Amino acid sequence: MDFFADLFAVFGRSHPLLLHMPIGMLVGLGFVELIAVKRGHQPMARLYVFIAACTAVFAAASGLVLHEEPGYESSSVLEWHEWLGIATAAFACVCFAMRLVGAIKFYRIFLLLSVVVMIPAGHFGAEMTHGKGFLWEPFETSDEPEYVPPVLPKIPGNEVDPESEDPSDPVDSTDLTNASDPENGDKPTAENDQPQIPEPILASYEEHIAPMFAARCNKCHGERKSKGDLRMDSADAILAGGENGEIIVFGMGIDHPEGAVVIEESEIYQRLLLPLDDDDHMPPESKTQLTNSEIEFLRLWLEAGAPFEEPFELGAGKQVPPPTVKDPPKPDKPKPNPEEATSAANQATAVTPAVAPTEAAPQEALLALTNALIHVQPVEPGSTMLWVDFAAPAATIDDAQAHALLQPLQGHIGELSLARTKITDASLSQIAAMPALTRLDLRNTAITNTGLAELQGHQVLQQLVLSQTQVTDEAAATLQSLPSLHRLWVWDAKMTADGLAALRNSLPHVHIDAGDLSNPEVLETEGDLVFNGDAPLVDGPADGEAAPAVADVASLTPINTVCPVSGKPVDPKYSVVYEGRVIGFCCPNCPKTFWENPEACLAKLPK
Amino acid sequence: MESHNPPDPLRERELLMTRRRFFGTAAKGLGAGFGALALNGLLGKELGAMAGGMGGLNGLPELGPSPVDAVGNRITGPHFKPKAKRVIYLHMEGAPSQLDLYDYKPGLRSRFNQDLPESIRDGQRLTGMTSGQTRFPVAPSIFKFSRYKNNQDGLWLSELLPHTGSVAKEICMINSMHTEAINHEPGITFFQTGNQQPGRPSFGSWMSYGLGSANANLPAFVVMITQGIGNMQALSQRFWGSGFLPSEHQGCKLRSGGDPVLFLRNPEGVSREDRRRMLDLVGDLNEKEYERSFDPEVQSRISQYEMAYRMQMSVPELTDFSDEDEATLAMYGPDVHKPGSFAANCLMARRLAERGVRFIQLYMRGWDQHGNLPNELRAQAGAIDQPQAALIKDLKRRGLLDDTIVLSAGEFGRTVYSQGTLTTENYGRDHHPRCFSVWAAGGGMNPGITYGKTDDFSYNIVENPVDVHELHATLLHCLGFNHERLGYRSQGRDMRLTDVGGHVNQSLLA
Repeated sequence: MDFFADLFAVFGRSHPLLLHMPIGMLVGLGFVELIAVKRGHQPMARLYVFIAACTAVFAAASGLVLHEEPGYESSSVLEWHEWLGIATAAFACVCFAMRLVGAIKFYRIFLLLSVVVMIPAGHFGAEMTHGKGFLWEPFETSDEPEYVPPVLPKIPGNEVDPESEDPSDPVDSTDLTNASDPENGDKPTAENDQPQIPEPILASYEEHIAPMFAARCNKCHGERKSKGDLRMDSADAILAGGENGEIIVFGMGIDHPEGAVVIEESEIYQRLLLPLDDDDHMPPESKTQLTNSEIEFLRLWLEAGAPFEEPFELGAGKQVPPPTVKDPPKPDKPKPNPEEATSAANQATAVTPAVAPTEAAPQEALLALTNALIHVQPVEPGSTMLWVDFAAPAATIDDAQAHALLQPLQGHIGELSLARTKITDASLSQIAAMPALTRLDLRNTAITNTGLAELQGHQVLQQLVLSQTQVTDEAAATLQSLPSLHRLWVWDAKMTADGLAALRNSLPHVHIDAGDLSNPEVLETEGDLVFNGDAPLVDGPADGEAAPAVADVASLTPINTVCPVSGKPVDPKYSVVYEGRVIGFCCPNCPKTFWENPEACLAKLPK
Repeated sequence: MESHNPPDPLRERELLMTRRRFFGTAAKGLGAGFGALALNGLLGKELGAMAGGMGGLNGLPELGPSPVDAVGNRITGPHFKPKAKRVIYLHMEGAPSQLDLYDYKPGLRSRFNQDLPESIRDGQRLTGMTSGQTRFPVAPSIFKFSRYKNNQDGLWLSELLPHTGSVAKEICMINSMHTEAINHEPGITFFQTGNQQPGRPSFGSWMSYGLGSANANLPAFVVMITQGIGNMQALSQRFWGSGFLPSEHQGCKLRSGGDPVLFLRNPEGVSREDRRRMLDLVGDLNEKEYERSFDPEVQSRISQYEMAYRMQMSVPELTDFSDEDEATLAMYGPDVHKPGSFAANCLMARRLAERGVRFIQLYMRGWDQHGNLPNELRAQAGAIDQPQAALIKDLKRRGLLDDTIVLSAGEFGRTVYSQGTLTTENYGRDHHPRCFSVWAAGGGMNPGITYGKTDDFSYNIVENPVDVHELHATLLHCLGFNHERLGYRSQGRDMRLTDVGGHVNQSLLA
């Protein structure tokens, strides 16, 4: 019986195939009859009408069978499609009956009716498979911005390894308290030298999670289709779960606190982590996958208890232990070694995440850059933030050119290299106004303290290369005003040793590279080498006798002094062993000749 | 994740058609030749839309964003945020002896001239050069080793590499590399292309295809060769060939003497304007040929002509060291003034790196010490030690080491037993694929660590083996690529640098 049940299901699934037959046949028939009426021809043969009616019936019947399959929840579209389809089939049957009895006038009326009913039936069907509004979509000027996957702001200790084999790896959240507010990005901090009170960065279901579900999940788990009886287009539906139960599991106050999400058991998250080829992996292998950033957003949302109304904190995890500083800076003693500052730097820096602009960079501005041979590339795939590198035309770039090229892209520049260009201090005011700039390379330019001072208080700048510039000790004030700075290069700038020491002292969390790589630190060196064969043998002689004689160094000295191939003097480093005898050659090529025909050479050797 | 599958030839062809049309107009009148963008979702989207429309005819899936690099070549772009933007690969051709440079085995000193135990050799195949030897006497290194402070319990290096010791904190030393090949040609081919048989693209070509050029005036993949002091093996052009990838991705060799690039200079009596006019005309003709045949090699030719035209300007500036200060030159050692020396090439590598070249490969020849190893190795190591340490320091102080991987590797290691005569002053070593040492620095590789262990004879790996595919996969990870997704369809298969193996070794990552 199972076989017939399966066959039945196959019949249902051939609906997408069968439905095209009545469309073609009935519409075709309509045209034929139209011409026939006009020119007074005979009506179409009965056989054709019969077949057309049959296909309409089959299409409708298969559609009804298909409806029984899970995943097709009743909706107005489906109902309309269903009834109009049945009506089409019914009219087609009546149409055939009229043709059979020869009531040609009624036959044509019912044909017209069936075609008229079939068109909206087809339309609703298409809406089901392709989505609502599919037909007129090209005309619609979409007000909604295209979905751009959210990018998790960088928070120390909360960075997502984009390619970690297993995104479920618990993310270390020890340093989260250091996250600062991105809002006051352009507020200079000259007057408030106090460390800023970190404020959490907020996200919400409405703004971040719902659009993600809409773009990645709702095509199959939404109004139109609800595969696995699951819909993810509303809070209620998400909480209701699907045929396999709830997709977000809340703690019961026994093993997990009440109301907290048990992430390990919540399929809404766990299914994303399954291997791509796992049948249960979501989204299915062929569909667009979630980025790690999106997954991380989801995790943070769940961790916050899956709030649908209130915002949740990015970077405020379950527990927020105080930040630990391994090597607390001592204010009265300069750091002896810049290298050691690194570990502290990673711990203590308060990094304000750069906020990527929501819309893509203007195309003409990008074209202008590439036409000027300037390299431009997103800082990571899909990001609206750019890495701009002037390496190729560096020698010809001056302030005016840099200004004109960069002006339209102000908000988009994340990493900027103006190394080896002819820019001067005049360019720095423009650079200082780039809100998302995290890395700036000014190496080998004419920049001085005056220009650098423009950067005063830049909130998100993390890395700054000032090697080979005119910057002096006086720049310290500016550098101290950069809250996110944690890497600085000042090799071959105009700083004095004292100034550098003072700078390191005042910026203990910044890794400062002044090219002063310490001399090699030798921890130990071997003493005089003694060579002997005294060590016990690994494979050990069976009866414990002394190690066999191994001192026969001479055994590997060639027996000949003249190369048997070339006749030149032997160089002992090119020797081979053949039948227990060491044979020397003059060069590395002769042994190859020898091996081709050893017998021929043996005659030339001393016995 | 749209580009989950490597490119399909049909789609490639459509893209080429589309790209020609797009750049055909942009190419005219621009010194750059091609107005080009490396931006997802910008040009990529346009191309995608155009090709997507055509794609519908063949029922092909809609095309994902397809970035184009600075010179107009279609590239894949990284899969995720990269740590490294470029690679400087110091290939030690001929296989340096790990026993005399990196892999410290003091216990061997008291096994001098003992026979290599059968339990260690374990039936290992030998080359024709020592398979006839009746004995395999253990040859301990005659060089003293020192332990330099790194971020673990110290890095052991032989006395031949004192300068390298000064950058121990940057070096990620892998003592447990192993490979499949036992002879130079297949060994190098395997290390460069992920396959012992010739015909696959080299690492640099994959990176040219993946990352593209970041400097429209220079090729993405540059090769420089230093003639060694010791026994030298053949060096084939195909080691930097592009295999089945479009041929603009092959390595460009910079020569040390005379013109750095052959035939780059205009002939007597031809001005740059004449050259431009000629290129425009030839470009038009090639364009016509392309529209007729759709042969992608025609495009490669056009883009290489344009590249050469721009290199006429950029190469002389690149190879002129007069803007380097004395201290920098001194840091690389006295050889830096000798064109083609390892020192000069290291300095050139830094200059290329700061100009945005993605993959710079230096071949140092002459490491094949079958005999007379101590003397030849002294000279070989002497030639590389100071320059390679200087390269790392120079990159570091310019802020370039963070996003540049420096990799030093030979194609395999050398045997613990002596080939030919063994004395306390002299010995030779044969090829040994079962274990050897390579190191990397910068670009997201774990700095200041030693990874993997070999047995007391440096013959077999006892801890954390790393194979070539694994190293490639890990390096690709630093460069922003999932090695399983960076592919190209050829001969009916999606080919990868890591072939069918490899995984990212997290321990090697910073």
